[in-house]
Amino acid sequence: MIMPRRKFLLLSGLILILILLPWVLQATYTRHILVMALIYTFSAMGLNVIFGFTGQAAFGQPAFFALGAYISSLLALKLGFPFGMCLVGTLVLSAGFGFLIGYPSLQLRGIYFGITTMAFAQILYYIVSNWVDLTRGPMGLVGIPPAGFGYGDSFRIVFDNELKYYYLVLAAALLALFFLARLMETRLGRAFVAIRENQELSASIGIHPFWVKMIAFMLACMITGMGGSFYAHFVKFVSPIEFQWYNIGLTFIMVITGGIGTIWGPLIGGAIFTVLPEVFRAVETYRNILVGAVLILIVIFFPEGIMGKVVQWRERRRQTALERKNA
Amino acid sequence: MLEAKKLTVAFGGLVAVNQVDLSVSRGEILGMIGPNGAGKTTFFNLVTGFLVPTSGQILFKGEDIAGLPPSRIASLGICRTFQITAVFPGLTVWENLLTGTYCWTRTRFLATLVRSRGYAEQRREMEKQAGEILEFLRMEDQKDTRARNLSYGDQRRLEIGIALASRREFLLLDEPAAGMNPEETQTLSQVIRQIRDKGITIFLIEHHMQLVMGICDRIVVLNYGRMIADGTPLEISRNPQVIEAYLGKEEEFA
Repeated sequence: MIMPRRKFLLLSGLILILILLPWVLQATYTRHILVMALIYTFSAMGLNVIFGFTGQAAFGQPAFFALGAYISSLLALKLGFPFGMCLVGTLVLSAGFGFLIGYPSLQLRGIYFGITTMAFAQILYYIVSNWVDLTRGPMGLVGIPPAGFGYGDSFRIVFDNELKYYYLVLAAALLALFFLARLMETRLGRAFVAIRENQELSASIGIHPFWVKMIAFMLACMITGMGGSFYAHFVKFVSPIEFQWYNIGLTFIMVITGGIGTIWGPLIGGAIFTVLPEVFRAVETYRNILVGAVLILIVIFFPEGIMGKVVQWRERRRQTALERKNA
Repeated sequence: MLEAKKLTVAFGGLVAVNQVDLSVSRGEILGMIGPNGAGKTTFFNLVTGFLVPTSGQILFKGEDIAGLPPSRIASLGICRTFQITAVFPGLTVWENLLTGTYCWTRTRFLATLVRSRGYAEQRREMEKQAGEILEFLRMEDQKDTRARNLSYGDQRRLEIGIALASRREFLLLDEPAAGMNPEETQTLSQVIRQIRDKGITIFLIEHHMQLVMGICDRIVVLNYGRMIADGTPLEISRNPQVIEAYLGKEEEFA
């Protein structure tokens, strides 16, 4: 299948902007914010898989993000794993935790599922806060090594400044988006959406709702955990603060304003709501009011989210083209 | 093709389906009628795995399927529609039909990732199938319409379309004509006959007597969870027990 020309141009334009962005905003501080925006995007992407595509509102994203950060840090600090193996380990263990938490939670539906995931998120928070021997509790983990890949001493890249790290995370985010876009074209991807739209009907055409939801949940945990891993090796410090409730709402805001169940939505929503609070830092007193105002404006003018609006435009254009053809 | 043996399900003290023995042969259109609350939909839910029977057996092609999950039963070859219209409301008609192909397609993530030839082949076959159903149901103009924006009759037709897309050999239709106008009902009975002519066995629940009498090869009657009659449409329309179930005993009016 060949991509329509317009879509191809739009996509390459967007990617080009993302590549050039740190050269427009050259200050270390702004580059730092760009990296953080991309990192939080993973949390939004994960939520988009389980909530946006599969329709199950999970309230545990920040916990999975923090969990990923802790797993990756502990693998590096306690076992001396290189970054690549920390990343792989985080993916595997996040999927494992996803399974353990998903197995009981996914027996429930709707808000009951959401509340259960929130309860598990709190449990994780208390474990991390109190298992001082392993996690140093509220003091957090320090001295996390920077991200880098290498073969012995001959070949080594270390992502030790904001610019390099930006490209590392950007590459990972684009790869994840590509992976998701293709996944949504498979039978499994369609099954995610089918369950969101009508679980009973899905079962009657051969979809096993529990296991398909389980795969979506594990995938969401993996993507979110990956963001956590990038976070840990960038900020080089993790503490139980990362588990906080505030981030649950924020992740939902990112997904909803970006466009629920769209591929690019979480990236856009994630970028907006990480960058915006920093932009308004200049007017500290009014900062939250302004962020809130922008949120309200988006909800009024883009009720389906920004990418949702794009999808609508595309559909309307196709519809008028069809009508013109029929007339 | 399908055989129920002493099938029973009880909810506490209420026996919704009581010792029902019933068989459906390949290629026929079997109708199930009965007053409201007779246990018809419950019977369908048992056959399709949405409910687990208290006792009894359900044999599909000789294999006991009682108590298997709905998805497993679908993969064995049974698909159903619902009494309360069930489509994928947020998806377009086209996407609804593509989703219906789940049973006989495979995930093949790697093939999709690199858009290999295998991927293209499967995609083509799915689209061919969906296109045929669209034509069959005469819904070409609504291809890109979201299901929630369709008229009620069209939603019901789409529901049958999704079931057809699943390519199952046995179809259970739960009140397919409910809420349809006479014209839509007429079209529906043609559609059901054509589906049977494709070699698909059909078992339907319906209150619309004209439709049931017109297209069914055989009819079974359920009342208070028990099967009280089994025969051709003509036999059923003359069966005193059936008349009693629907109209009550004569003495009561005396």
